[in-house]
Amino acid sequence: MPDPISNSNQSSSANACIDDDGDAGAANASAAPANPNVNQSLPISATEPSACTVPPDAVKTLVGKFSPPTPPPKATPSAPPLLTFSGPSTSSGPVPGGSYRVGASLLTEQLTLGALQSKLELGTVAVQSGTDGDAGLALARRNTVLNAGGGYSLTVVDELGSARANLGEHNDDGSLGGNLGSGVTLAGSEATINTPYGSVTYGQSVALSLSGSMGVRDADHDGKPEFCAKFSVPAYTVGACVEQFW
Amino acid sequence: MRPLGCLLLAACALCSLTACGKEVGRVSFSSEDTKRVEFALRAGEVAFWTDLDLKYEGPAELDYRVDLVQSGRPVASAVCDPLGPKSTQIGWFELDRRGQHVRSGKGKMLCRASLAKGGPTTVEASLAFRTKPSAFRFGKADLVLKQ
Repeated sequence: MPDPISNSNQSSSANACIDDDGDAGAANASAAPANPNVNQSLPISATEPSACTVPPDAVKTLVGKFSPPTPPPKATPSAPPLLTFSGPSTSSGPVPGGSYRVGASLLTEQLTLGALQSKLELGTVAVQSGTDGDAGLALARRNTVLNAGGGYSLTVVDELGSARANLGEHNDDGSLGGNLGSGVTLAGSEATINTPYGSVTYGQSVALSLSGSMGVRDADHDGKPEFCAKFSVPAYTVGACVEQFW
Repeated sequence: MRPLGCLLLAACALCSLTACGKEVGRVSFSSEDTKRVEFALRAGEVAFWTDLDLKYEGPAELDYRVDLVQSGRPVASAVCDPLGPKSTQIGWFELDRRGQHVRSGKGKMLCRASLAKGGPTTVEASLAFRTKPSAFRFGKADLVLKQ
């Protein structure tokens, strides 16, 4: 079960100040590593490759509606080291649609080593309300991302001792639509393969939970919507996002 | 309380194994200010942590601007964002509610500096808002140096 606060594997911006309108505040202006999947305007222009035709107005409207806003300008911190513990913090993700959010963690540790990013959280509690209602806790959670380049990546989330209840419109897979679920997990692991054409998720766990989500996203910002669905029943999680090809 | 104790123990063990380092100096702030303090630092990397307790309202950007001076000459500098992303957080608490925000805990900021040689080092540090919130209250905003 991904972190209920960060609300999305793709949404890695941290410490954003979100007001009731969902505006990203300036406190996140120095947000960390640029994530091509996050907060970028859609590259719909005449300079795009010819294979990328300008979509019809209805599709543009749809994609625009379901795409995250343009990020605020970034500040320039000190030069990052080659090998460092870095990255966005966990318990501080933005709260799309949330009017109230509280998060606490005993320890959050992040490691970036080349294409490998790993984040470990111990003793995390998070609650938010608003258009996204979400409450969760986890004794331990590890999120590992291996970026292969070209839009391909592998994300593995491992959890130990977690509980969550959620009802909202911003889904874990980064799509906007709807989600509903609750449950307790003793131990579980979930892997997601991301490609430019969509993603596939599979997970197994020792859990007592039921959850589901459906929505639309444009993770690679190519102007084509991706339709996502993800469901968890006791012991299994399956999900997929498919980019519109028709 | 045994599970919590185990978690804390694991957290401390992990922290000691990774990048937490040892505190070698602390510049205490309780408001926007500029301070100069001398510490004995070793050659090598200096990590900057914040020990923060801040409530504010509206958008805010906060910076530490740090200069390390040896024998009257600046040898390293860094700009650190205590409200931004951190590589490590310990006992971190956040609250966002209707434009009001609370940030509290210890966190390792992404900035760092490197010293070619050790010795007495004057740390000139200023804490100031780049974007000032409409209201704010510091409990503390200490800059902690670790090696």
